[in-house]
Amino acid sequence: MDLQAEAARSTGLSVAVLPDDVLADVLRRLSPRWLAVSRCVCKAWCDVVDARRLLRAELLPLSPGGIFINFNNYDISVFLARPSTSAVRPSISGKREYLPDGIQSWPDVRDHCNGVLLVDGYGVAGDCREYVLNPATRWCSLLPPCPPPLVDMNTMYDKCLLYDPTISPHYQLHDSRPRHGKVLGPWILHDVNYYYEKMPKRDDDDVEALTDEERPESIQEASEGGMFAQNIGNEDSMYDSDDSTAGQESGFISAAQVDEKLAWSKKLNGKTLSGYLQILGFHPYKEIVFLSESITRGLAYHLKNSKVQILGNLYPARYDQVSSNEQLIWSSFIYTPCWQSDKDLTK
Amino acid sequence: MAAPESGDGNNGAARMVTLISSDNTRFEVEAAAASLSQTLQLTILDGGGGGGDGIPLPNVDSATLSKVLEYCIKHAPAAANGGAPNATAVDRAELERFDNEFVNIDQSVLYSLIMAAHNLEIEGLQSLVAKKVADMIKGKSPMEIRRTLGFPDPTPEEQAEMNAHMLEYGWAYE
Repeated sequence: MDLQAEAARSTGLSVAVLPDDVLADVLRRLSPRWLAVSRCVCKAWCDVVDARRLLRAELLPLSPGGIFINFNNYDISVFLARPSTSAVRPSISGKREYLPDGIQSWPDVRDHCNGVLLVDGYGVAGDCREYVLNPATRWCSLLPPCPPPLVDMNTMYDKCLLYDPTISPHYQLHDSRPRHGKVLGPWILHDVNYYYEKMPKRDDDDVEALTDEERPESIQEASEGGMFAQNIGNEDSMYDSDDSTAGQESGFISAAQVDEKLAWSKKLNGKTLSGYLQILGFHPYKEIVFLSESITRGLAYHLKNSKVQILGNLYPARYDQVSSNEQLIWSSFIYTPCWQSDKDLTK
Repeated sequence: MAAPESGDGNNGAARMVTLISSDNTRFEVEAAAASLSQTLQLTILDGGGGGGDGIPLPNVDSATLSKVLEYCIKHAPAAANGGAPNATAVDRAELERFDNEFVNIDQSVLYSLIMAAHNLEIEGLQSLVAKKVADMIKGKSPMEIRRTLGFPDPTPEEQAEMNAHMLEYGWAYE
């Protein structure tokens, strides 16, 4: 390659000297990630990318838009998000209206990857249907019927959705059941251990406890082991008590916001956290851990300054009626909306 | 679009057209192959390029034109079928193998091909060469891209500018 580059340099004919029009035609075929890199190659490339708006970073799933939470014995997934005030974009909703007909119950969100969800639903005949959907653009695709469950009836963790619109418009589904191993892999560790890679490498005791963990399954164990509870409790944390009202609509709590733009309205110093803490997920790009305090209150813990921000109420309004015991959160996903056109979104 | 035209040749043989490169070399090819070029298609539909006339291509030299026509001749049958519906897996695999081989070329040739594909508006070839360039870009840092694509070494100012730009889209460098 170096020899080729040398030759190109000596003849003066290389991709480096393409006219703007032609360069734009080449660059516009690159996926967003390589466009972002190409932008830094030289001024001419940057100008071409910017002037023609080839890179639409605002459409990419780069910031959290909410948290999907699955409560044990609760029939729907709960979506915790800031109510949309933007007139530019439609509000993100988990309501049924964009789901295909025949869905009787609100589906569980099984997995999330960069703005695209894998959800379960039950049809009229009680049959399980699986969908891949994008709540931001309301694109939805019904997956072929799932194979009958094997001996192990617990099929909750056996599918994994992989999607990275910065690299490819295609999504992948990975089935981890042993007998379906042929569709397995290659596992992309970057995606699977997404939140782990984003954890800052620090020497602080509280962070070390987490970065030492390697298996994704142990996320909850880490919090239940009291690492975080202890450390946060001992901090002289500042709280904001912006008690967001929990509005319940169609089973969705639209209560709070995840963005740290939220004004810290009140500071209640000297208060300690009560109850048990559980990790809901990690901010994909910032040093923030989202926590649940006794499955009632959502918290954002800023690792940088040990501040705790209250997101609002998580607890589903009907939870007491539906299930009075064994109340717990069994999974949660940080949701990053993706606004890219779905016309190319294929399996 | 091109298929009925070539199939309706008066004497049963496929209709031929003549293309003339910038260095005055004449290439005779089937109209169906040349019609992969959006630029040439209209001229050919109007009956141009036949007989002794020939279509002059002042922007394309003979080496590049012969390479472009090699692509067009290979892809014309598939294009005449309206893309893939009738193509067998074997045909598609063969085309893919041909494409991979086709762009395994020096950068100066690649440059000429990109320019020719753009000027002649051959969509398939444009995608193919763009994909080749994308492959040269993927997974590299801006500095590595510069080296690969034959850019001169950056001046300190350019280097500073590159570094500043890299901060703007940090997610792309993880």
